[in-house]
Amino acid sequence: MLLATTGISKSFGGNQVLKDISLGFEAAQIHALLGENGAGKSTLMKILAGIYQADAGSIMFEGSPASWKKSSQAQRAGISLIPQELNLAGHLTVAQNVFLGTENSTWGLLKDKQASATTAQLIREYNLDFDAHDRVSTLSPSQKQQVEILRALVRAQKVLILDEPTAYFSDRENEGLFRMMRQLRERGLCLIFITHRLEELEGLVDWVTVLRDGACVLSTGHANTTVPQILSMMVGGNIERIFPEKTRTFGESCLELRQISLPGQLQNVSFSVRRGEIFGLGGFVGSRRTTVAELLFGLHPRYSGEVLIDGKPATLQNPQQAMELGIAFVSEDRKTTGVFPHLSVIQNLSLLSIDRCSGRFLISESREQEIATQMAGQLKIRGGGLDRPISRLSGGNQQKTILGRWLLAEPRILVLDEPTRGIDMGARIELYAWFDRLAREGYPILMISSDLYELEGLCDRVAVFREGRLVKILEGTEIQRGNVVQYAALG
Amino acid sequence: MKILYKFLPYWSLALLFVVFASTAPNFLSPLNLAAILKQSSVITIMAIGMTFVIVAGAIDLSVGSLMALSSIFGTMLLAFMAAGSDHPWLAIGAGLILSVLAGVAGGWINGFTISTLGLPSFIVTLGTLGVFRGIALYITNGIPVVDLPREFGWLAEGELFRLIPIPVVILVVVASVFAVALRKTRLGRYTLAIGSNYEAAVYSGIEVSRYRTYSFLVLGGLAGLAGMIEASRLITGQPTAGEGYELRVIAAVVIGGGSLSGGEGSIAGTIVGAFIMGILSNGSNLLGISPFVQQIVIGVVIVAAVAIDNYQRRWK
Repeated sequence: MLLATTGISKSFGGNQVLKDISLGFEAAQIHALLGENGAGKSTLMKILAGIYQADAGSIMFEGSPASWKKSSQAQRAGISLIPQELNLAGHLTVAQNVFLGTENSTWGLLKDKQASATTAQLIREYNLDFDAHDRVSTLSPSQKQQVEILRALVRAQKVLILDEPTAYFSDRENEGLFRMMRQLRERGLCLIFITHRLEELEGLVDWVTVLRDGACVLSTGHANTTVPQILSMMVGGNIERIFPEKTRTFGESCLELRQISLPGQLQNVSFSVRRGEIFGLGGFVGSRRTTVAELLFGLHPRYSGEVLIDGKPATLQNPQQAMELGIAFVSEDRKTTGVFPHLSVIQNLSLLSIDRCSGRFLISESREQEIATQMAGQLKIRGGGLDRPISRLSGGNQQKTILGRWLLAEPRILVLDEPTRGIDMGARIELYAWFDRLAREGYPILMISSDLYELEGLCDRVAVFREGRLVKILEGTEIQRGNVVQYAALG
Repeated sequence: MKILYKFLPYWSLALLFVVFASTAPNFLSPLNLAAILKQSSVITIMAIGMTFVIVAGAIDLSVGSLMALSSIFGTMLLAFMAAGSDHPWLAIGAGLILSVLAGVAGGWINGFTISTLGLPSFIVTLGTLGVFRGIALYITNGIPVVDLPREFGWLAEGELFRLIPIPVVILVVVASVFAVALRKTRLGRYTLAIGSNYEAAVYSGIEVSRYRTYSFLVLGGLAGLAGMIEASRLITGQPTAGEGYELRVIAAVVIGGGSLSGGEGSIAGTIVGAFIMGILSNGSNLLGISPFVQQIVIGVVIVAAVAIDNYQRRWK
């Protein structure tokens, strides 16, 4: 056993987040750590990486007890945590980033050549598709993750903890990272892999551990378990239906794109969405699905072709025009384009309907509170006072708040870009029920998703994109994960 | 603990007040208190406008220059209309209005340039800091505007009911109007949203350029108003007025809890921030502390205010 914990417990201010965790991690193993948000995964990983200290219990590393007080001590011993928000300097090259903090120098001058050569050798060894001299800001998210791993490798690490490395990229990009992970396993490293995407486990991981409410509820070889078993362990109980039944009825076409092109991005995209329909857009990252959504929200005014809303030609030159036409757009990246961290939950909800809470000049705070509280109640937004900053809420509740903000603006068409990314299963199921309910109320819903289960389980039709073209619209029983991947990859 | 941090600027102001009241002779005399308010009013009025700009996540370095330029326009019109006229008050009113409008126009130039060229406000207003000052010096040839009617002095030295200085009356009105505007109008709410997360504001369909420009208009107009109060003190329009004021104005907002990364700040906090600086310099004067030392103290206060704010944020 390379690394083992015995009876680890941890509390924050009377709130016990880890209860008596005893786990073993082997060398040459990829160990998946699963669980809902708030299950304690991150806390456990931070204890292993020396960022937090356990209240009780012990850690054994390479046969001797370890009690790291700081992450630098754990790193010196050979354990690195690669965080989800990567710590790379975008303006520096790959080699400079890899050696950042451990530069070799003579007389104060950096040995840049040596660093580049070592980095280039590693890149060849792992067959990576970037160069030691590339600026990190020009790399894709998955390549950046690989740079982080290289960084850990030059420090001769034995355990790498990857915190949701794939949350921000899509299947094809994953493959590069997964290949690298398998190579690292062959060299005897232990990789602890946190993920929310269960489809990634197959063919990659050796061991599966599930945490729920701070306790370890399952820890077994991957071969001994199944996806449904893992899911029910995560949620705690049987998950009868994650997705609502597809028994919706459709009205007439409400949103129609005709031969939409955007230089260098989209080519002749045509489809139409009916009232009451959940229309999915599938494809890899870089297939320009988000461009379609942004275009509908007036963020790409230079398109050619025609957009019809309720049969009438629509001009979409800026977001204000799109909003007047009733388009609501829940954007892909909650943190950078969704929440207003300084505003309260109420203010985040009411922002787009502030005119409805105002008299001639002034906002009526009681009216604002009334409509926001009502929406928060309907969407079951949880996590403490609604008058506190939205940054205190979990990702799922933040996402509900953004959805609520748009619903309060009384739109007629919903455009949702990756609406459930990074959200735990419980909140997901609630959101799916909401999308179903909104569709039944007659909203046409256009939904981009990289989650294949979601496309299959929720959508009435799925348009698969590849490099800016719509290659196939899947309907009915054709909507299967395999088909989506096949069309997305091969066209 | 939380209460202590949250209202730190207020506690600090109270503490300073008590310290000077017990050590500095005559600090508590009505005459001196009125003087503090009067002396702080010009900076405070502009700092109220700056609060909008900083809450929107921007900055305006040109405010001192714009104040001078607006007051030059205002006093020139005032001198022109008052010459040989029996209606000095009409001329004063017209000059005041022109000064405010000139300030608004300057603010629009700042906001428009930032939006259309897509440049950081720091760069654009660093440029207009020189441009506005240059225009003021050029059109006056560097010579102050004089020959203003004596009644003009009322704006700075007059008193309401022979008690409350006119600049203080103006300050109270301005503060109330803009405190409500920031807290309870769409303008204020959108300003806060833009400063809190610019990208999210774009993705929410808020007209970000327009609302950010509005914050510069507010500051410009108030700079025009403050410029006329400043000119009224000496009954002259000085093209060199307000040099270095931008830093004091920004400092007032920051000491009062405004965040230079946007999304945070309040009118009440800003006023307290301006008064902290005003009381520090008045009290030190009474105690005979060198003005050079005062500069050091104010510099330290600015850094300390932001450091404590930062610490508090991490702590909670």
